[in-house]
Amino acid sequence: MATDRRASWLKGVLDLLVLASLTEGESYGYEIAKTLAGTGLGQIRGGTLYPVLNRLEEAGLVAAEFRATERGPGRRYYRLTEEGHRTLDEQGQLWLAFDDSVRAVLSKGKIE
Amino acid sequence: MTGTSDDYFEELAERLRASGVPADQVAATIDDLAAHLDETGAEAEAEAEFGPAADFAAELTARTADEGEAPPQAREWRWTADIFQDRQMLDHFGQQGWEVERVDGLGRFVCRRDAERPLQWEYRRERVPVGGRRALSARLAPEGWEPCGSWMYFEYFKRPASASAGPAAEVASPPDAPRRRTFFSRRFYAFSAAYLAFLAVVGVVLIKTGASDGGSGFLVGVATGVLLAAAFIAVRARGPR
Repeated sequence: MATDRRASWLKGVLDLLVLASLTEGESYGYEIAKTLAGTGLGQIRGGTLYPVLNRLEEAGLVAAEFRATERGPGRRYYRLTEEGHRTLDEQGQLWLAFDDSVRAVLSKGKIE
Repeated sequence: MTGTSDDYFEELAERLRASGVPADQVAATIDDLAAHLDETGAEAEAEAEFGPAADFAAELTARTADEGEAPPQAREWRWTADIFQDRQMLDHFGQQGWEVERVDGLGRFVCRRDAERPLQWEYRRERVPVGGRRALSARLAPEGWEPCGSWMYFEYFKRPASASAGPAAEVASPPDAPRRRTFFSRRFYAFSAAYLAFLAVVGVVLIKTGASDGGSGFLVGVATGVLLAAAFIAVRARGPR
């Protein structure tokens, strides 16, 4: 149950987390997943991450470029677009306001 | 309540009853909703508050994932192939959007396919030494490979093709899941037939030799050998190379 709920929460905010993880510069799928896992969000599998990256790319919020590597099949690097920056700022503020509301209600229920 | 709201609640009640909700429960629900609407404000419209009656009735009668059927995204398909073509079949079905979640105890690939935006999947198979799975997974992870199943001393890995191709690697029109669940190649049947023929020849020779020596030990040995060989072939029917 707890795992299901975390997965549900993550689903609602993963696009913002991906956008936020790109504010410091371009990155690729595995590195994004690793960065997010490092913050305590748990392992984010490729089957969860890449549909989000695809949607962000189609919406023009990230731009992607495939680069070959000496070893392996190459990587697809993602970077934030101007539209992505604006969306992150706007939607991020909305999420924080939502978070404040949730905290306020939980604190009334003596959850600190 | 306005006349429009009365119509709305009548339609809602009818839909709830049609969905099998008991009459007393329908009445209680409608009373609750009407009271809620009254408290919301005199000008509130039921449809504006609750959404279209058909959708709201469906939501009210929807079974939760815990109570009912699994969502379509979670539909499984299990299949198996022999050692000679498992990678080829994995590639084939990976291109149709099937993601291997694990290899079950019978050696079958347990797959799922996202109902909304299926991705194409790439697969690879690696031979691993005892205790070496973690090191192998760590080595392949930076390239985006995730372990998706083990069989004996082999490990299967998967990776979304979108890791290199982006949205172009989504499956636009995925075909239905095949009815077939086993994929054995001609090479496998030829291998099995040749092996069984070899065992038969060896068995006949050993039986004759054993009989001429008057000992029954040979017969026991032959029977044991045939059983072991049959077991070996059965395992290799699924076991990867």
